[in-house]
Amino acid sequence: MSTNRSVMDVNDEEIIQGCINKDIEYMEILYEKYVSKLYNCALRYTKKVEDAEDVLQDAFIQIFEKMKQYDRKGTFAGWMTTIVINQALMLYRKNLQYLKYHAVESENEEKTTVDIKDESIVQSDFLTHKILLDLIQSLPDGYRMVFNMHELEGYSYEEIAELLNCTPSTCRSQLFRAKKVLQAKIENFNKRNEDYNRL
Amino acid sequence: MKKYNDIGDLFRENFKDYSPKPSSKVWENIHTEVSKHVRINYKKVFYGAATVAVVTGVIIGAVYLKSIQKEEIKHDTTIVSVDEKHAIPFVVEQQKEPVKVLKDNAAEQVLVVENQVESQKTIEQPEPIIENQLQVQEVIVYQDEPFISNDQQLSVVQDLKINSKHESDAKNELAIIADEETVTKPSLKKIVVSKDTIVCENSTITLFIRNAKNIVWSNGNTTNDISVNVSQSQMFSVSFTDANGKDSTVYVFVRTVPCTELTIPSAFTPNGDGLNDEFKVFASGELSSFELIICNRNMKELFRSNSINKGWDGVYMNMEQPHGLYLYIIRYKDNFNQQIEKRGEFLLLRN
Repeated sequence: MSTNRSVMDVNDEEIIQGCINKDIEYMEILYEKYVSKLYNCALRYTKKVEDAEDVLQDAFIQIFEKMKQYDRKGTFAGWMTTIVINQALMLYRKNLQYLKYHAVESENEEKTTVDIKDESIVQSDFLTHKILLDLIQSLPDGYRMVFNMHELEGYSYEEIAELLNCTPSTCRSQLFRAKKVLQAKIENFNKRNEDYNRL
Repeated sequence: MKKYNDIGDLFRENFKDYSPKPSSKVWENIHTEVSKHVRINYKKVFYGAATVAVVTGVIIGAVYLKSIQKEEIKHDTTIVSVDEKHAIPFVVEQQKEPVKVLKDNAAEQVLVVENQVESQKTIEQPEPIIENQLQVQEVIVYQDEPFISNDQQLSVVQDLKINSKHESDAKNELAIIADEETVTKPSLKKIVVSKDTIVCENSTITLFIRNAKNIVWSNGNTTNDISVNVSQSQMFSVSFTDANGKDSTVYVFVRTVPCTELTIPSAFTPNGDGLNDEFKVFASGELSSFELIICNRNMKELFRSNSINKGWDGVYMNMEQPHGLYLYIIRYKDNFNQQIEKRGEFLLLRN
């Protein structure tokens, strides 16, 4: 534990300088310090572990290459998260080329103007991270991107629309559907789980 | 059970502190890719090579000396003087400090030599965070987590104790020692020590003491918390000075009992190759009752078994179930006849 703490204690500025100087030991410190945070993000944006690891790997290489361009606006972790998300978006766009119908589908979507009605939800004790992650990963690609960006990273509809090359209202409707799907799945899980508890 | 206002809240809250670890090959790949562009630390390479050369020299020297010694013993002369004569010219070629090489113990010499290299390095390369670098190297050891941690067993046993006859004892979770003066002055903090416990054999537990000074545990530690591995029932003692300057000693008794451990695999591959074709639980001892239920991630029951020897082959209603995450519920009675339920996930892997 004490050795772990020492990685966390290393100052970001020191790490940034070390990485700019291309010092591999600082790169390793950076990796150790932030890998969990960034892997958490990469997992949520991809369909499976292998993809997440590819995204993570490419993102770290990008981070090391672009370290000089870090302008110190916003947090360091936030900047790195953006790079991970960009890598995930690149993978998403690459997959879109093979699945053209996705684009057609998003154009045909009804333009919902209704505000998303928030519904309360209960999390049962056995709904673990792994299952939640599995739920996110099993969402259709577009839903997953919008849900993550809006709900977990706090992007605005306009920002998402620009990144995903669609209209803000499409984003709204996709987010609405994503939430519906997740809500239904979790409620289903809870119900079945209760059945077991009654056994 | 936890209630959230919104599905987004649920996910935000859950993923805030989620810190998964990727496989070690991610860093290996990054390292290979990045190494193409980074500067190589030639100084280090040089010192590495120097160390190897010196060590080789030392070993050769030692072997050489031994062979000479054997010959010289017959001639009844003092071994040391002969050694010096032969050894000094031999070693000087490769080593800066020949005197130290004269010791017969090769291992010791290696240590000495390496220390020298270390110290030279520190002088010639004044890098700011050498300490940190060294520590970091230690961190990057990837360890597999055990299937069942000892903590889980400990908590199980402690729960059991609360339910047992000693309810009155167990309710006071901590043995609290307070002498008259501490009671009359509520501002003084009470001294708190771990209570007596029952744990599984060979488990590691943490004993603690709070609000005391000059702490000395029976194993010599002087910290607030000690982490001990208990292989058999044992008495620990701790001496300390309280806020009033009084010295006292408290005993903590840790009793051990044999425990049945369950090993639950995290994945299986029903491909008929004879390796991990079934999802099956293994126990280190006898269990008086056992039930295994397997569900898919919608909590739909796919399999149920009352025998620990019967596992799931990945088939439900004659249909091979797809690759993915599945859930298990295991209910069994342990050595204390305590009903235990374990839930978790595992992977069904198909190519």
